[in-house]
Amino acid sequence: MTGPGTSRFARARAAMIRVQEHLLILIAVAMTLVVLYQIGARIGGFSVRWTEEFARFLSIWATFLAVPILIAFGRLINIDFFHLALPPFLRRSVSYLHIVISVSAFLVLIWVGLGQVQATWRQTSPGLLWPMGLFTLPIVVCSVLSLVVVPDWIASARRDGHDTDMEKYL
Amino acid sequence: MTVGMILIVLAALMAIGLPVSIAVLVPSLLYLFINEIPLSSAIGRMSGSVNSFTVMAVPFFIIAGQVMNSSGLTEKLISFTRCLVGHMRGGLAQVNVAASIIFAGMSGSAVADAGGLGSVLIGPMKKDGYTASFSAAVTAASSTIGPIIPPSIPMVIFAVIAEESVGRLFLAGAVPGFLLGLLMMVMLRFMPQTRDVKVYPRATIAEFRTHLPAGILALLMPAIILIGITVGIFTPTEAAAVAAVYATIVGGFILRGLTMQRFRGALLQSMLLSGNVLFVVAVAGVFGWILAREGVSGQLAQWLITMDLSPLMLLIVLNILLLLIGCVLEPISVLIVLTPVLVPVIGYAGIDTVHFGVIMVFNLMIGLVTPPMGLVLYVVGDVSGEKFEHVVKDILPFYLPMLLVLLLITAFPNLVLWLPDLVFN
Repeated sequence: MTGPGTSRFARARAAMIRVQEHLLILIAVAMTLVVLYQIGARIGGFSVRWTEEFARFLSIWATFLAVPILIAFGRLINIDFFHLALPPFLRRSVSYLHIVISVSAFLVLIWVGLGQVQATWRQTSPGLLWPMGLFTLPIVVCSVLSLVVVPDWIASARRDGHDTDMEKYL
Repeated sequence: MTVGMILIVLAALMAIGLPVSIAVLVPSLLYLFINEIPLSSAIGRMSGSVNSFTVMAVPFFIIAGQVMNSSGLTEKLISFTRCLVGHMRGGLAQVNVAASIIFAGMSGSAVADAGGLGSVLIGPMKKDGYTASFSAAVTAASSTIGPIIPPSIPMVIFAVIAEESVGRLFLAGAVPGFLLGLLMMVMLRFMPQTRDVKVYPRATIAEFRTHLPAGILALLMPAIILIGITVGIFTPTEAAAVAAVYATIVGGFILRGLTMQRFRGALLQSMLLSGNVLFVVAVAGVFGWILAREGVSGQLAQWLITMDLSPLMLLIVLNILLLLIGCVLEPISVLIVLTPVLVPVIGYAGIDTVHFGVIMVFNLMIGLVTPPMGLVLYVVGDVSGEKFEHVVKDILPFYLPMLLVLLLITAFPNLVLWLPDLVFN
């Protein structure tokens, strides 16, 4: 994503993805430690009421922070058997159609999501007593960041659609 | 907008290659908009679907598998299985299946299994006299064992949607998984492709001792998970987190193959893989709610009542349906779309949900190695450098054990339910 001829915006996108990658690694470690603490607390005979909720909170953020990176690298799960069978011109056109549909969906999620975050901000979660809006905010953040990486998605479409590397499928 | 229209839009969007998550999201949002249901409910349901402690088992199991892989355990595991079965007719092909059975206890994903074992085994298999396409076909077929033997990511997804016990589902997959592996190994012994290939000398005690620790380290992982869950020390998610920590300790301090850079890479890769799956789970929450609102399960149940099918016949019909769907769609999407629809129907017919869960995952694993979709065939094709159609030709005999086990577990529910009933009752 970076190179001698890349624009400032491309470098900013690359930096953004690096930050997200660091956050995902931190979240993975934090989630594991929180769940271990929960087990230890239970075995130790004292109950902690925030651990499960905090772990879930981290898991939601991890899920939605991963999406823009997956989009940037064309690695969201998809069925490209028929897409790849199309002639090159049609294949590229369909790839652009993917982008238009996805951008529209993310715009709707931002518009509706912001309202939902606002509406639930005053409600608090039972364990952490944090605003419930923090549990829906990742969807908005994911949608915004997914729009930021649209140039990368376009670049992927120009290169004839997605590749089929094994890691993108489970 | 009716369910029929939603399904048509969904099928069309998936067929043109739109990411599955967005292909599910778009018709769901359209349905809400057209039926004047607040779109904000979609946000709540997306967040709610992944706001589940059980769902968190998915990233932890992926971390455990990735960290084990990054620490070089796969190579050591193959040396261990070569000591066990390398002397049998079929040499490395037998090793491939046996390693898949053990690897299944660490990864829970067929694609991870095919990619991990394939990259290490296909090269040596070719050197031993197997064709590239046969080596790829054995790897692909044996990788289907991965998500059947516990732990299993598809089973976690099924358990969450069907509100069933993850522990019961894990144990229910054990017998069918081992049976499948055993039948594949028996078949390999009699296949003409294994007649003139290298067979390894029986391992000496010294060799066995050298490689045994790696085997024990690998086998301890599913043992920790299953014993922890069944004894009641851990919930499935906690067991998965403990497995992830165990993998880190083994990789970093015992095998010493896990550097900090590899560890960071494994964690990042795991979070991206789980994000990919859980994003589909999130949007499927909206879709599932729409199907429930439209009473799709009820209509399907009503239709099946008029057909007057016995439970066995119903399962056979569902097997055919799932095999066909599994050939064109990837498993997580099918689980997410069909589980909420089919579980009430099989409940009405008096079929155990755990029994059906294993059958459903088994069908979808066969789909993973069946064209036109056959994701695993593409993976092993890439690793072996062999053409897709050649791999397809060589995998054909392996449908025999797969379909035989599917038939057995469909007709004899006790094969599936015996172990979970024994442990949990």
